[in-house]
Amino acid sequence: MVDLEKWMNVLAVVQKPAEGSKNMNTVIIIGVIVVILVVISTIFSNKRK
Amino acid sequence: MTTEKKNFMRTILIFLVYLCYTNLFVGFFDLIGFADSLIATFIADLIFFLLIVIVYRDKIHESFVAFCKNYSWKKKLGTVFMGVAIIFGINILGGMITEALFPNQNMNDDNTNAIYELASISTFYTIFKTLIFSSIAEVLVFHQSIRDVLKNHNVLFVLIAGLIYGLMNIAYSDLSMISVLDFIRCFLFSVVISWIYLKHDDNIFLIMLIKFVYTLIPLTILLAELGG
Repeated sequence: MVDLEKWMNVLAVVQKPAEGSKNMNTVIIIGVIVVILVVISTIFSNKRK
Repeated sequence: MTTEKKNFMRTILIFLVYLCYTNLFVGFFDLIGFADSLIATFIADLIFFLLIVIVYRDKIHESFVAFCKNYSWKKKLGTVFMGVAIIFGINILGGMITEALFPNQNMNDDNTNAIYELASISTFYTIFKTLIFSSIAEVLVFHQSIRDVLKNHNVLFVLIAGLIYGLMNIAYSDLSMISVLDFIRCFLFSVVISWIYLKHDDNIFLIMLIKFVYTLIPLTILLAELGG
């Protein structure tokens, strides 16, 4: 049985742990991917103008 | 420097600061012998929040004025409630899929669990983080800054903003199969927000308001649970 009510609890917020992430490598890798995504999409967008 | 280059530099700088500021502040406070990492994190969030609001103050003001002038009360309420209802629909659909695939597990994502932990320590910080920070600063980081560099490419903007929001939501959690579903849920959340943003002439204030109203419901449930 699917409990729909508990999905009303989901908060839309990125919460960074005060004591640092359990896995800093993941954060660094995702951070690099995010920056690369911004750079590539900007370049692509400027080329298509 | 052209406006495009300026926007690009600003967006990259915002993301670099967003990715590092908590660690930098906590590290700095630790260095000067201030042991309370929660207060250090709060100060870091507060400073980041103030800085990003200052950076985008003109855009916020401009979209606030447009929202007040161009929308009737009926349209204001209708748009906000439609946005909130779609987001809840996506969450519940995501929940049904996750629960069907992974029965009998704690279905809250790690960010929500972290907020529940935070709420047991500081109600004030929890309210600030969920209602104010997430509705204003996160919307500016994940939507406005990306829109600045992808002004003429709506589909690309929706996809990139969704990918980045989804990735950032799982970055601080333990990666597992559930993270993939969390990623998809956050991606869809961002797609809805971006779509509303584009439909309403890039009105950033409107999506801040939708996120604020959306967050108000789970936050009320959370605080009621703590009070009970």
